[in-house]
Amino acid sequence: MAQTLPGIASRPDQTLALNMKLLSHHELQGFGGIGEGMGMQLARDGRRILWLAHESAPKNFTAVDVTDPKNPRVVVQTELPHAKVRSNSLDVVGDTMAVAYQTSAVNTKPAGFDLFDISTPEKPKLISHFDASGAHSRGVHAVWFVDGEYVHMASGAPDFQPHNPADDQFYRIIDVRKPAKPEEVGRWWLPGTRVGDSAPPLARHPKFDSGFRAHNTNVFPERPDRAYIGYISGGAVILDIADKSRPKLISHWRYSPPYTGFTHTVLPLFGRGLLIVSDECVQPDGKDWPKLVWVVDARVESNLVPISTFPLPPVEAFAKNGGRFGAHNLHENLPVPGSWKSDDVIVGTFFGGGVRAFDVSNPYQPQEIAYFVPPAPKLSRAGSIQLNDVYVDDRRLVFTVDRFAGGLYVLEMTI
Amino acid sequence: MASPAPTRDSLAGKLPVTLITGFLGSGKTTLLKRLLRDPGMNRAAVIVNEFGEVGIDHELLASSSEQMTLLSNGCLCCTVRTDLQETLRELFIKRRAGEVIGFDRVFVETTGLADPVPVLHTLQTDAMLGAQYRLDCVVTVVDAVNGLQNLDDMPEAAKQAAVADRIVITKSDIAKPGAVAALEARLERMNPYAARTVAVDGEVEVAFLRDVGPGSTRATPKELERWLAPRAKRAPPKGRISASAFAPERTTLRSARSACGSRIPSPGTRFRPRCRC
Repeated sequence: MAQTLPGIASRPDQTLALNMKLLSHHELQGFGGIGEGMGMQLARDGRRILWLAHESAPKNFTAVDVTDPKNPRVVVQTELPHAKVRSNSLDVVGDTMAVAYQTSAVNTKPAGFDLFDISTPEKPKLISHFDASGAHSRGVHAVWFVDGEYVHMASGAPDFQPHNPADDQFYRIIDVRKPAKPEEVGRWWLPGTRVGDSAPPLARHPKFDSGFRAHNTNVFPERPDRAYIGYISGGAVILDIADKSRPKLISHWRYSPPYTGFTHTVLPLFGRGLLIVSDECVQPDGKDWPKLVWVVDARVESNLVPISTFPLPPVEAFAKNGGRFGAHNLHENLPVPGSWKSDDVIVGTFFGGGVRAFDVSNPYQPQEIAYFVPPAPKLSRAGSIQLNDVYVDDRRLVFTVDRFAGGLYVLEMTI
Repeated sequence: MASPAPTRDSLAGKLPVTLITGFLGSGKTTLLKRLLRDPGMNRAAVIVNEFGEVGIDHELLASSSEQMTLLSNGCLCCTVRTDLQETLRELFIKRRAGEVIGFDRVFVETTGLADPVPVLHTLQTDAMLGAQYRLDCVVTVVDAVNGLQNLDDMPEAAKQAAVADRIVITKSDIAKPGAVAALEARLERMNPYAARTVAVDGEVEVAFLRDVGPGSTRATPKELERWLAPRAKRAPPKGRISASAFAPERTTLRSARSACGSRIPSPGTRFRPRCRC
């Protein structure tokens, strides 16, 4: 019989979908908590291998054969040496993979990144380890490795002492052209964060102090002389890295306070003079709302002007379902074979808000054109889906992962 | 800042809207009942002007006290609130927030006395609605008992027939002999491009009414032909040619011109030829 609709918000056990269709779901052998490292390898034998960095121990990374998106198969799953380290981030170029290691405390190893030869996906071979551990360092949170030559990363260093422990990870450039001997060639940090800086220490965010440190450090072949950096409490940063040994500040857009901090990704849309800047929600139950995705006019790169934000669903519809609800990772138009690239459709993950696609062809009025919110995974401690990262391949297939338990979801976009 | 070459199909993925119109007593609700019983229609949203005395179905629709009701087959039914635009917007907002089912199509049932043209205008010119919805089909129900008289006497009934993509002729079982043929002849003169079918008690092939309009800017000429000229093989009508149905979509225009050749006279607007009654 019919029932009267209660008129309440979404329930964490329901699936919500518009223009995204679930093709398959893989729980990754019971270890379905994935961080924000996703990279696709076009293997020499024709397979498409999706490499995933786990959010936390005990697993390091998992490779999934997604050649047939309806039947993903785990190829290999590796272990971390102990529970005080996590990989969280990775990138793939050809048959080489960089994997980040961040520790939960300073003075702990391994803290840095590994380079692997993945020419045989079933048997990743360690090429080298770059050590970033130290008395004030927790190692590497995120890597950007797209040209096979340099790893750009958010990292601590043994010789870097921040005023505040939360400011330990800054921008570092590592030359890996000799993969067996990675070597630092440049670095930049927000002036005032390091002990010994001539600039005074920076004022902390009064309510949402997540640290002045780097998160995503993106460099694209269209502008090899620019680094686009989300600097968490420090906002969005563009650096001139024409001379990698001496990065220079081009522009710095700070909007927190009054906003709630944690700038995560700065994604340039070359040819349009736009940046897509995402925050990261880091608190449950909507406590740090709003966590947004911003459209920024960067035609004059030294004068960044925010012009709109992505239209997210109402916070009350999702925030109380458990866990986080708000912006996080974007598909970053990775300049590598196999990655989807679009200047008008941006796909991002929003934790409990699922994965969502937006049309920014009119940058003043972005439109939401697709979404998929899976039901809460079994055994997830959050109580709702917590989609953490997304990768879109050149077949327009959307690969997205849960932060705690759900594993991998493979979706087809029907837009 | 310039808009890029789109990687998105601007029609694909929009929720199809089917407008069901027809004069008082023609059998719109009966047809809707039939449609909603089809297994492929179990995620539809239905917008009616009111929960009338003849409900969508006594089995399907139990409550008429709320403005939105979940039917037992999974469909959603709601009444028009202040206007259709607001109702469609509210439906989409609730869908997005998980407050209603993730409906995959919408049926709008007009009142029997409705002039469908303003409704079509709303659906095709409201930019906010256009971001989420696309008009799929106008279905006009004409009954064989009173239809001919209504077409003569009531301008609304004539407009309903003139803008149809599909016409369903009802009550043939209780009509006088020859009534159906006479009605068909009249409808042929009024709107030769609408495909027609005769249905008793709403029994009609769902495929006849579903996915009629182009669902993609990449639609092939053959696919467009289904919508543009389902009866094009008949002799061309005599009389004046007028036009309706419009979407300034260049890709579609090209495809439509390819499908229809010289029958589409000028660029800028997608015209659909019709014979004026």
